[in-house]
Amino acid sequence: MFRKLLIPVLLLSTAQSVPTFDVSTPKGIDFVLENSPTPKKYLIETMPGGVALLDYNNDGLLDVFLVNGGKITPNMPEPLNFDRDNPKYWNRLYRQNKDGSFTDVTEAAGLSHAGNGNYGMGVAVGDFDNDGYPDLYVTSYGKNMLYHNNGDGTFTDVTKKAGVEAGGWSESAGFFDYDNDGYLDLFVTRYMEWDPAHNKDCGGFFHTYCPPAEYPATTNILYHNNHDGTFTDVSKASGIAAKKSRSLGVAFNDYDNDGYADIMVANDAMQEFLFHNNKNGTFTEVALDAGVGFTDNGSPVSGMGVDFRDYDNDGLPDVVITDLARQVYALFHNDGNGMFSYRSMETNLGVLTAGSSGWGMRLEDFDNDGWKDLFVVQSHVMDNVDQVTPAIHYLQAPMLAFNRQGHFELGDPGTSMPVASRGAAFGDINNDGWMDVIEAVLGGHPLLFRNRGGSAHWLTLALRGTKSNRDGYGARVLANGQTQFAAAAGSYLSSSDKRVHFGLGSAKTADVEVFWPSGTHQVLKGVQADQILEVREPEKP
Amino acid sequence: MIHAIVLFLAMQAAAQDPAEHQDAGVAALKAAQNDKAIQEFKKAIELDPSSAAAYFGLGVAYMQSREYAAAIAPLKKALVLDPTMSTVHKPLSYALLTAGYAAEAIPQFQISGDKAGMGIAELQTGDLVNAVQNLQGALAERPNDPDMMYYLARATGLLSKQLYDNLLAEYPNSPRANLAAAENYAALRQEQEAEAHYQAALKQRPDLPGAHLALGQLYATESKWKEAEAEYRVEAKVQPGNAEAAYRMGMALLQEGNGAEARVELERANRLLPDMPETLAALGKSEALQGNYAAAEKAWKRVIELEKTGELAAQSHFGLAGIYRKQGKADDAAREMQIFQEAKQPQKQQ
Repeated sequence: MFRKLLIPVLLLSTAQSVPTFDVSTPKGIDFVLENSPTPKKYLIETMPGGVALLDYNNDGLLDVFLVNGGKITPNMPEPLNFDRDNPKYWNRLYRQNKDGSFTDVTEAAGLSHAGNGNYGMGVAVGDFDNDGYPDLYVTSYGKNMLYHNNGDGTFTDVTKKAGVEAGGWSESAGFFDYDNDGYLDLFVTRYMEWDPAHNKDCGGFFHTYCPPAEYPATTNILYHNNHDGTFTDVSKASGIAAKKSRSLGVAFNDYDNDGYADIMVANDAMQEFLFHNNKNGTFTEVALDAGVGFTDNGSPVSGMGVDFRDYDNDGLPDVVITDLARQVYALFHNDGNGMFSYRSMETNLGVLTAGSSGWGMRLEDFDNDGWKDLFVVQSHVMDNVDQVTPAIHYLQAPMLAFNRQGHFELGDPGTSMPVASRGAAFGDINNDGWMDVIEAVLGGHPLLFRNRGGSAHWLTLALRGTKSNRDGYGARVLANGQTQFAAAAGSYLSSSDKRVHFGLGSAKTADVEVFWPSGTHQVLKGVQADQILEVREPEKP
Repeated sequence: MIHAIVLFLAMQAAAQDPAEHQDAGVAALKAAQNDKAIQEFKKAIELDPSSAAAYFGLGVAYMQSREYAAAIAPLKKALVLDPTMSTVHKPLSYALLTAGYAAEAIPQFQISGDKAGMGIAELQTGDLVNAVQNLQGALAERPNDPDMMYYLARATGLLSKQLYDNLLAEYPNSPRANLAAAENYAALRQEQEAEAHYQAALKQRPDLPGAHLALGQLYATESKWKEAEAEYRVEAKVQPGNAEAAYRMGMALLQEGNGAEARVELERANRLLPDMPETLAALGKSEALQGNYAAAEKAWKRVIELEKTGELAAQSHFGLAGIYRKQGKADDAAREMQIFQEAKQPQKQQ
């Protein structure tokens, strides 16, 4: 199977090109991620924030939504406020203009007030009511908020009606359709049981943020979509809440090709979770048995970001988890029998990432050679780690590792400027067929990495579900020996371009197969390269 | 009335007898009535200032009261009055040592033949070479004595530092001085300075035994595996019989994802120094990476035989669970995973 798929991909990769990126804060985006670090080292300060790439007004251009933290003072009075009514601490929506600049439409869109008491974390995007417009789910320390896209450039806070406010400390979230009923459900990771009154100060003389094990673990949440604008918390009934964790990242894919989406959760300094979808509304956590819970030493990593995609073009989704320096980014290869093998070293990620601390990330084909590369935005969690351990750095430049037939080699992400990155979203901002990146930076403006592109061919598919959910999330898409899984979730706290992208190398056409969540199998032969093609799910298979 | 006077006179007569005070002092010492003992011995001395035994008793009473400085004078006087009184030397030596007169205590320890006290006194006077020798002897006699472990560790550490200081002061540009400086910087986690000194040492003596290995370890702590591997390779040429160089090269190769070459080096390390659990654990991993499950199983099982518990044993159980799963041996895999999880129990999350 592996050899059979490898041959066409090798042929495609002969037209290999190395793109470069132009890195800047996009024109018109004046957002600053206000995390409000204090000498008290409140743990929430170092964890935001998310970024989303979505086309909220369906004009064909990706817009940008950025989640803000909030105001924190050294001795926060109860009840917690975070001053979210202050414009400085608003989340922001920026509409992309035709010239590539952006306009702040936060107030006009009705997104200016994130709720006092909610310290912002991340964002998930999905059309939960199948009306054709992407909706927003914003996670927080505090209450989460679901904003329904009204289709006229405005959003309405429907959290209460929908019943998805969660509470506690939520981190990454993602929409997916776990029961293939045509409506997007919602998975929310939560980090720990924490509050300012019980915050701890570690590190002795240096005063550092405490390691996660200092605080009790908590449960993640699964919300089932009731098709009427409301959700039901099925965390217990589904088995998701059977295990407590300190979760930061989530990604979806169907690792055993049984037609149902499974859930990969990145946990901090403890065993990772792989929730296998039992196809009956329940999940079983199988990470240990599947070999994806620990590294090959049986050691946990400080899992933060996660992606769940096929890096070696064998048709099966693999797992990459970003973590802290002195560990290496964990890559688990899907062996095809429900089991994974730890392959960080064999893929050269061990050598490339031992000194790195990673957050937002994605396996995506940035040079369009037919192999998914790895882009990671980086920074250590401790803002004074340089003092404590001089060889490790708080501020770090991003890492781009090009995938050369399963072996990763260092590329140029366009900047060596170190920053404190957190969330990152990935998509084709200018619709040129080359994947771009936007990252959120603690205490700073977001940075956009515009891919200058090259000569290789590409194909981008905009899925439109009919029986399946409108976004087509959960569709398994094959093109010229590559496999993609339609999902905006993954990375850290962020939501990426929902369109499915393929690098085609020197191939000018592609044979495409779409396995829709509804079970419909769609085949498109000889699709012309270098286009963004809407693929509508056939009404009849 | 007459009876009372007789009794009083009898008591006066008794009080005038130094031997009785001496006996009372000894009895009080035995009963840990230190203050009373001091008073009795003082009275005995008052009545018979030539009594070495009374001075000795007084000194011992002060020692027992932890008044070491006060004990010195009566113990010395006892020796003056009776130079043959050998039992005085030991308490006198400890009184002097405890009161800070280490140099003066040494001759007393020499007479009493007390290696432990001698070593401690020499440590305090800076005679580190003799201190190490005497403390090693004392520890051999009392292998479970934490005090002896502490003093020997301190003495060897200070001696080591003293020798390094001498090396650096007297031969500052020698290869060994650079090596010593590099090791100091490495211990202080000042990697750049450490690397510079290692390179300087190797420039002077490219075949300096241990230098490439140490530089490789510095690179390894910084996760610079290719650089570490290169240094280990040179060390393996300089010292082909060095098992650690082979082991560390194998580990570097594993980190680089080169399981096949790692296995060769780890097998070589195991031949040079068999049954090192670290080598076997890594060998198991390299064999598993090559799909040699039987060899991996053998290596990991040997680790478990050698180390019933601990991190390497836990890792080996985890590794065994992995290869059993891949071979479809579900029960064996479950058993090994269960043992792994139990080994990790203290770290188990809430």
